[in-house]
Amino acid sequence: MADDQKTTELSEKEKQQLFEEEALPHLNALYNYALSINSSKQDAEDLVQDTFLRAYRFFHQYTPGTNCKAWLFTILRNLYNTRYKNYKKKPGKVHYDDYEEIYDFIIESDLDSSIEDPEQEFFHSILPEEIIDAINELPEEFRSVLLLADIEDFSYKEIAEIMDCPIGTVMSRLHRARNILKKKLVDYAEEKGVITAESRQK
Amino acid sequence: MNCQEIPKYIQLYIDGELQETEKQQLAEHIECCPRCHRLVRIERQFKMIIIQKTRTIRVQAPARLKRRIRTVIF
Repeated sequence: MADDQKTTELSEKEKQQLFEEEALPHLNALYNYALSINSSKQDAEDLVQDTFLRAYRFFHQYTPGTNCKAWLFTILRNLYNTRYKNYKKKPGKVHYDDYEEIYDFIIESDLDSSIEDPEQEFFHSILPEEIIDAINELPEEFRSVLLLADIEDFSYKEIAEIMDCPIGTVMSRLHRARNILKKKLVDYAEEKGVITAESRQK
Repeated sequence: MNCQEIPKYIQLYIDGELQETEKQQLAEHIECCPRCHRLVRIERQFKMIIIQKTRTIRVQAPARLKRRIRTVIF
């Protein structure tokens, strides 16, 4: 099938086949993202199912060969926003430190060290569950932007379309999300004794 | 590009969102500035750690969901 063939020109069988090839392979990505923004597995499953239903209904609007994954995520996000419209809150005001403040203790304390890569110990001490807990505690819009950028590998422009917000908002949410995470992970490392409060004060 | 400007470009750099000229300017600066080089390296490591550790808990969509979607759609 030629990539530029319009989906409106397809027979039902061809449409099904194209949907199988281009849309359904993104099921796992959509499901994982849905899990991260829903409170239950059932809600996540329902959201993904509704996403595919709507995608199939509006498949004539999709141009074969373009970014189907981003298109599906946009549909999922629209459904999520509509469904939770009544509960939707603006992202909470989060107090976060500047980049330099968070990492200065690592940078300054070890800059003259003979150790090749002194951050390694800190990074490797981080457990997957600590990262997940820290991500889950992020305000939803921040968590979404972080996951869409780092895990789903979308560009800022694609994330802006999915989240229906300006690119500048994507950038600032991503920056804030990462800073909050860093701060939490530094706190965990301190609790475990990987770094000390003294080194943090340096 | 100087040391004061670097922090605001780091995120764009590690996310692959910098224009070619800025990318080159940043790369040239960190090549001769150990402190900024280290800032970039830490930020990149942080992003990689998020990706690696989050991937370990990625799950497969339940088979029943796939079946349900196919049944409802086709």
